[in-house]
Amino acid sequence: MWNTYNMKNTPTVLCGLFFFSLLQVACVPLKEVHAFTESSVQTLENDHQIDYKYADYCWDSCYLFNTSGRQLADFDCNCGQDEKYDSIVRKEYDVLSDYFTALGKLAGAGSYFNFAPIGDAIQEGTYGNLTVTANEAKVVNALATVATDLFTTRYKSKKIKEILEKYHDTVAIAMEIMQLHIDNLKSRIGLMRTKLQQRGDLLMAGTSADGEKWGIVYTYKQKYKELGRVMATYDKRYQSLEKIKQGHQALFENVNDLHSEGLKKKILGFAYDIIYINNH
Amino acid sequence: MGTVNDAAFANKLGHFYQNMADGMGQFIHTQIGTLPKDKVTSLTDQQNQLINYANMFFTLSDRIAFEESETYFKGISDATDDIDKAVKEIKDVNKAINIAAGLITLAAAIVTENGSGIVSSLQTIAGAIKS
Repeated sequence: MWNTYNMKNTPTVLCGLFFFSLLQVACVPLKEVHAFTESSVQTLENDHQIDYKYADYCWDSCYLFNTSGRQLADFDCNCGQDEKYDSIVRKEYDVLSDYFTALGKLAGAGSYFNFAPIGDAIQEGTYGNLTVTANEAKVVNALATVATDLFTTRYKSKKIKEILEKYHDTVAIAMEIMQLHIDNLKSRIGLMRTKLQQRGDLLMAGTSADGEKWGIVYTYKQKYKELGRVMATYDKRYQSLEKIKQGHQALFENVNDLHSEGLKKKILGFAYDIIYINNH
Repeated sequence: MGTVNDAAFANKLGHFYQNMADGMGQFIHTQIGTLPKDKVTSLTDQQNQLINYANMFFTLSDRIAFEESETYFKGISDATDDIDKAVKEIKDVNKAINIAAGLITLAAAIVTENGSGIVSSLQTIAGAIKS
């Protein structure tokens, strides 16, 4: 076959190469999807950085909701169940993180059909009756590279479509469950702050000594601020999960047109939003 | 066993009672100096009840969500396995391409009676098969 390849055919081959290049522009790699999944994974892995979880809440609430210090001395807070909740939530974050990592691998540059070795195997020279010129070898190598992108992009789009159609609902509900956990815990911390304020008010009203008042106000303010910081962290986590959920929804809604400019802009927007929320 | 919607509903009820408790807390906070002691006691008792209800609903919401979560997170693990399989398929095809490339080079080396080329392409093929 290769003996039909000679210099006079080179322009035809180059035209073919140009055509393939045009196709390649139409089938750009899924780098926006990859950027979105990367920022999602980063967020999901950030859960390790929140150092106030169910068990911490359990210990704090155990003391704050009990009004008598005398009773507390022998009080068993029993936070075993909350420690279990923490480990379940951790696993849930890991499962979601694995999912987006895998999706990113499929969409990203790391998973390409590599036709380049075939291109590399064609070198200029004379093989019996077969002559391959330097130009022809170069064209074949370039075509192999283009084929890599074309085949891979088509394969990836098809697979991503299959995955999104089959699992989108499951992912969306799982994200809702994560958000519920976040909101429930954050709200219970908020209730603890309300209780803290109530106790501060009652103690302040019950004493006239300045020293005691200062001690009450100081302790109250410190704990109020600490809990406020934890709630703000959970707020951020909730917002970034919302963006991940919306991004996944956008992918699902545009599953038949993963290369549309509109979707690319939208998905990159979600990726930037997630990064912004995490860093501010 | 409830559904995720039940968990969301319990969460909403929790927020309703939480808002009531917060409102009452603000009232106590601003009026505590002017209210009689028995009135303060009565109001704080009521606020405590509202806090307890809110806590109860948030706890219920979490319990339902945790019961439900196993099904959905198992589904996501299945999705991850499917994607990993797809990525592995790419790797397998790459392996086939590498073997084919080695065979083409080997053919060229045989045609040109290039001894060292034959050896190196055989090594390439062996390496591609092993990978």
